[in-house]
Amino acid sequence: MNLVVIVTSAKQQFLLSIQRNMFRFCVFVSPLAQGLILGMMYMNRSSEEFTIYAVFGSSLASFWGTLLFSSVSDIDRERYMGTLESIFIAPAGFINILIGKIIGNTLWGIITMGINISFILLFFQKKLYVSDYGLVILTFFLFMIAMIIMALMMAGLFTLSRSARIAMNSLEHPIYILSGVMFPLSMLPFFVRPLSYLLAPAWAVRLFKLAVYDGAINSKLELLGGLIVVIIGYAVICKVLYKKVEYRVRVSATLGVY
Amino acid sequence: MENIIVARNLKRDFKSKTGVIRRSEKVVNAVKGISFDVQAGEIFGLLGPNGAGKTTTIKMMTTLLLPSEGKLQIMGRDIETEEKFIRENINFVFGGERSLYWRLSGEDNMRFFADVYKVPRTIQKTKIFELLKIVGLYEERLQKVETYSKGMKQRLQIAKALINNPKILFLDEPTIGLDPVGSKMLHKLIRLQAKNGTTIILTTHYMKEAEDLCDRIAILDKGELKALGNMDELIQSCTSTKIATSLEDVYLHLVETKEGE
Repeated sequence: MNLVVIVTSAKQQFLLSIQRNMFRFCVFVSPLAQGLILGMMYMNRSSEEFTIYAVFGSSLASFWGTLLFSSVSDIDRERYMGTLESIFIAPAGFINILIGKIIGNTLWGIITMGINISFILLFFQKKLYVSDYGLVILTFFLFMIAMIIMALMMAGLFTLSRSARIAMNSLEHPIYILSGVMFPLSMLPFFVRPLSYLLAPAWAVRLFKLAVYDGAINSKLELLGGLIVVIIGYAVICKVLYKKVEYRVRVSATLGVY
Repeated sequence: MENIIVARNLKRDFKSKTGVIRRSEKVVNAVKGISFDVQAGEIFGLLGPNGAGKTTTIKMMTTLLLPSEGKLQIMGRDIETEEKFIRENINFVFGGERSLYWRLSGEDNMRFFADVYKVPRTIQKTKIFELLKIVGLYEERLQKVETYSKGMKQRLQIAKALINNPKILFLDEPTIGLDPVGSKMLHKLIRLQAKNGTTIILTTHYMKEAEDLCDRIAILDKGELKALGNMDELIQSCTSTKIATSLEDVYLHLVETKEGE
């Protein structure tokens, strides 16, 4: 880990991203639309359900959308700008530069979440219905770590592929559905539900439910453990992946446009 | 003089797949078994028509690509397994206006690349200002790169490539699209770097540029090495079949002969 490079790269990304109109739309407008849709869907349901899906669910989806969209399209953009080759062979290490970029996007993702939550609560004149705020904060923190690693994995994979945009757009909504951030997983066919155990947002939603309904401490610890295992799993896959990616990229020649 | 680059029987193939239902694989042999050495401190030219394999060869030397076959050593290190050491000692410019962050200022670009090239923070500012002065962009350093002219962007690329005091500098068509003043300034800079001991690998389509700058030149065509040597040796190599007095004569003789066959 090269902290100087991570901070430099995060700062650069934070400043660069917001200069793009599409990114500004993702950060400032999209969360309002997302919040409005889910708020309308859940406005006549219980306060607990409104909090879980309209507030937390839509904020997770907004965060995920901002982070995934920007982290993946950044690789594509760097490829077309010709800077991907420069950062790939930079002595500071490609992975350090990417971690910085993803942290830069994460900061915007947090802002997106803040806008999303504030808008929903103000627009629908509702209050948060939470029994365990500590668990909510811890869950958001772990969820962000999981998403940073996941975005890193995606960015690595998309370094190998020139079809990043198509893959990114194809992945976004299936993950929302499989994670149960917009509606309960019980509404999905039985055979697809096990896939949710692989997705950090699904664990986060389960934890938010416990935080809202004040579940038993054992259940909370169990789910926290589950989310931590998922994070460790992502980290291990990420480490192995990057060793392979750095080699395969030099074989497959996918860093440039030509 | 020691050999700073050693290439032996270097090959590079590119595979691409076509078709949706009936998938077929196409293999392009971009570099077909070339061998050459580059001595420390020399300006080494790689010439050839489009598709000759110049950029592929440079990309292998800069560790961006792995050879399909053959051996390639930079500063005595293998490019496949010792790329980290190599990367700390080289830098490159790929011609054109790319490889920069257009929405950042020239100075911010330099700061970013100084950090990723591990230039100590204590000397960064001095180094960046010095390089920006050399390439004539000091006054414009706070402007966004997107407001720069093509020539200014190329000059910024040169400054960026010198940020880590590379021992080997790869310049892939660095003067493409530059006006005569810009080209002259770049030539002066290349000579200065070589004088300071930097080894320079240069690809260009401009014969006069190669003739003026390069100590030795390799001519590539369709992935094969057609000739290698200094100006006298290259002219000598084709006088048996044609009277050659310039690099352009040699180049046209080697490339046109094959195309006419």
